[in-house]
Amino acid sequence: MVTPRRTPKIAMPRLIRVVWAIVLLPLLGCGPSPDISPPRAITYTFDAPTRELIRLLAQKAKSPAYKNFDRNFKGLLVPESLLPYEPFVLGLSTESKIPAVLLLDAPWVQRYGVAGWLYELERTKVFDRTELVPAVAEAFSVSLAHITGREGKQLVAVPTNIKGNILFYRQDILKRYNLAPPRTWDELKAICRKVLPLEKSLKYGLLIHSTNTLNDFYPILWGFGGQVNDDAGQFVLPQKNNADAFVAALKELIAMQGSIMPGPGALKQFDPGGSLRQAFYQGQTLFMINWSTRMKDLSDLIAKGQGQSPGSLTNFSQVGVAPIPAKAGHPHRYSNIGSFGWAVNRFSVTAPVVIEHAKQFTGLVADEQFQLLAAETMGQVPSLIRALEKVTNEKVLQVYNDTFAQKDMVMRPRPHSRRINNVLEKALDAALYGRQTPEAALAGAIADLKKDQTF
Amino acid sequence: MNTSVTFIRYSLRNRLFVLAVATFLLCAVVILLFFPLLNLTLDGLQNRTINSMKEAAEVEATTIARLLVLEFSSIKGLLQVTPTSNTEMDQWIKNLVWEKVTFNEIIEGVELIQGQQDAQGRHLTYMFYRREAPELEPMAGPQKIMKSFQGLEQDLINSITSQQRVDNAVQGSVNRGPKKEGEMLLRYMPVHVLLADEGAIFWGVAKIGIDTSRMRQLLLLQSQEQSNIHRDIWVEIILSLLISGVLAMSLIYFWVRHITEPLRTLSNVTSALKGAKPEEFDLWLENLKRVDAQGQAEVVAIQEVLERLGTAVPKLGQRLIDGEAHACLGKVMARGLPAFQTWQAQLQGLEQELGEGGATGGHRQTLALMRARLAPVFDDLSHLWSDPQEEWGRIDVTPGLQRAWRLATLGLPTEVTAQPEFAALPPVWGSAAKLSLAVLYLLTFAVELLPPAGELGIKAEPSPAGGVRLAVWVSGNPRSPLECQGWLNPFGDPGRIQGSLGPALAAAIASQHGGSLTVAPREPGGAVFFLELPPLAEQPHEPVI
Repeated sequence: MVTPRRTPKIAMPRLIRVVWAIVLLPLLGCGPSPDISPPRAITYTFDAPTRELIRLLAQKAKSPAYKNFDRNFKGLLVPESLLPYEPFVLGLSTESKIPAVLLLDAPWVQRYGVAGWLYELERTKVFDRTELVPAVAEAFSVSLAHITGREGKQLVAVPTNIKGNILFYRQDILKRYNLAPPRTWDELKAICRKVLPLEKSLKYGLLIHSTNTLNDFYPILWGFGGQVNDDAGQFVLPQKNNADAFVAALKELIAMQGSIMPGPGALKQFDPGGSLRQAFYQGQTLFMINWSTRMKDLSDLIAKGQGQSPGSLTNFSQVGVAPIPAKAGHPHRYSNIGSFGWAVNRFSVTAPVVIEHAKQFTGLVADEQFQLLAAETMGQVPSLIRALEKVTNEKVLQVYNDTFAQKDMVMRPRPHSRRINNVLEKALDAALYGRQTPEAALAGAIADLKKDQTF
Repeated sequence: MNTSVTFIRYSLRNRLFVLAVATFLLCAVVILLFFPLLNLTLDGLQNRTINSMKEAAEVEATTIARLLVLEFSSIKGLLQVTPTSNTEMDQWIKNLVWEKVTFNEIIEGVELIQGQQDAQGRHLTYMFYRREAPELEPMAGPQKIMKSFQGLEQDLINSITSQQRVDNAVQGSVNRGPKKEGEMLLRYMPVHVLLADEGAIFWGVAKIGIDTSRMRQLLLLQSQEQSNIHRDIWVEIILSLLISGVLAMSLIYFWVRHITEPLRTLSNVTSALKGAKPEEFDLWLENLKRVDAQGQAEVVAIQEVLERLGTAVPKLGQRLIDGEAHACLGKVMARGLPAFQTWQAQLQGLEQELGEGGATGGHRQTLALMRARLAPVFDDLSHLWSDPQEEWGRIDVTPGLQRAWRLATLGLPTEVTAQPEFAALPPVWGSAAKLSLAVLYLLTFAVELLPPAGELGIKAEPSPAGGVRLAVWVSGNPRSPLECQGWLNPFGDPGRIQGSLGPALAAAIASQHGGSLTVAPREPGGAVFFLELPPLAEQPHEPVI
């Protein structure tokens, strides 16, 4: 029997129909199920340095995680004009889920953490605090016993670097006189009294900021055993020991005015931004209290040689760093920590996937290669121990080893309340400018602050 | 064979019906088992839906509350208000609260509670509630009061004013349930006033009541819908089972009837053989051939085997009858052989004497006697040996009975008492040879039962009905009725087929002639056979076979 063969004219339309049917099947619901997985992207507060480092890592490391960063994480740009209003206080206090990850200054980490707005990172395995330098890890930890019922401090933010105010000094001069960096204010004063008469180029023994002086004053106050807020965030300055320490520290500064520090009349010349490091660069002062990040600025100034005058620094080896001195007999020296850390908004954690994404995010922005790049390009001191072991930037290592790695160094955040800071700043100014005695200035500040019980 | 009577016949068809019903019931039970699972699924669905609705309502409430708080955060005048003040700012805040409550249907009420408290623990509070509940008096307007808190609400206020996170568990326990202001979902949120130089300054708490009547209506609707769905699904399952059951059983009934019909017909036809008479055997065979197998291989095979058996059985039966007749005659001849040998010796002696000197008077008498003895024997044998076919007619059975008696008693021991009794008999319709053979079968069987000095008798007489009644009795051991009946049905117990088929064949011949043969135990011992032949009919009939 002969099977009749289908002619090509008939076979082709049938083939076309079959192909069309296969193509149209997905439209009829026969295709793969739609992707119903939750969106991966989480929101984070956008900041320029982080963006720049991410961009560099995407180029250099060619890592897909950094290349797809914008796809997986949505940056929330905060207008500069809004920052003074502390908009995220309002957001998190009303349980907003946005932003999911925040870059917070250390004092804000304390405030948000105590309020219970931040997610515990170590217990929930988002980040292991043993990877961090202990001093900075402690500064980003708060007690959540009133919320979780667990004793001890919990890490609530991951710092990407270590920043704090420290004591800069002329290493070449101290070596010349075979002097060690001062540990106490008495030692500092003794050094000044010895060196200043002999070094005619030095106009001052110590310079501190004339604006936002409180940032420089806090480590001094802590070194005298005083506190404005306790660990739970309670305002304790009116207590006698703290008030006495405040007055003593302030008197110590006032006592140095005119001989070691600029007098009230000379303070104004240091108001412009950058004037302090310019004075140090030009060789006008033996000691300077400034942020640790100024080491990079000084390095740049020395490298460029701009505005060089007789006595200016020509070599980076002339710069030494040490912790800010403390009162004689006090066991610790302090630094007002200025590091920022990444924290997770507790109210955004509505599903395990959010935790996972937050973990991925912190893993990227606090990564070893991220911190190493920041150390090499921006002079930032890494907060990761394993990153510190691989840093090659000598100045970064010098800052870390000579200050933050010192056994008696304690990094502590300033009070978060801007009202407290503003009031105390005014009191400090009044005392340093000679308008009020330290005791009167403090009493006035405490009286102002007691009017408002809600800070 | 004993068969127990049951409610339904234990047939293949009924078994298939029962199996179908059982299968359907099993499937129905399995389907009904899904109903509780369906209920669980529906309950889970409802719970998830309710939870989703509650979460959506809470999210909505939170969003609305947050929007209000964001708006309050820009009111720097809040920082200036005091419990004792009565400034434009106080009125402005009250007006704002009135606007928010009045022009937003979803907001039931707002309270702005200052964080600071006086010596009595009271907080400055701006509040206004719409109060649409009929049992509540409407509020005249926004109020500025000093308000105290107790219990959980106080704890909640404390937790918020101390900048701690609002615990959802505490919040839920405080916010839920009917309130004095009406049933609403409450949200407590801290209010921070944003200042450029001081940042976010905590002022107090905003307590915002969100209308939940819409959610309650949705929940009620959801509950009603679930009840309806339960009922509908139950009805649908029952109806589906009912309809599918009726349809399935109808289809199965006809299908089973169809496929079991050939086997059932074959079974009926085959079982009819049990009660069929010999003359109905051809009709049974014809019925067997007419069974429609409908192509079922098993039925065809059984039918073919039965047909072959049905064809072979009559031939075997004829051969059996012929063989039994020959056997009976053989037995007669064997029993008469000594007499024949004696007669042969006497004849040889007579021939010698006749050859030597001629017959004398004594010898002639002996010769005559011998001839007289041999003549009836040969006559009897010639009659009984003749072909029984085609010899039906109006006959007198007496000669045949006498021949059979003579042949059966030929050569019996002298101690045996023979008692023949032949009365004048009316004519009957039949075959003389067959009837003679029938009697010979009976007598031969009776001789086998006969003890050495027993009695054997035959009595032929007219029956009261006008026919012939023949009784053959034999003495001997006592017999039971069951044993006697077994002689007539030698194949009743296939395991014990007896040696002689004489009574059964005699009964068959009697039945062939429209008569009957019965047997019963004899009172002193032995048995008696009764053979009844019907009277001669006015219209003669043909043999049934």
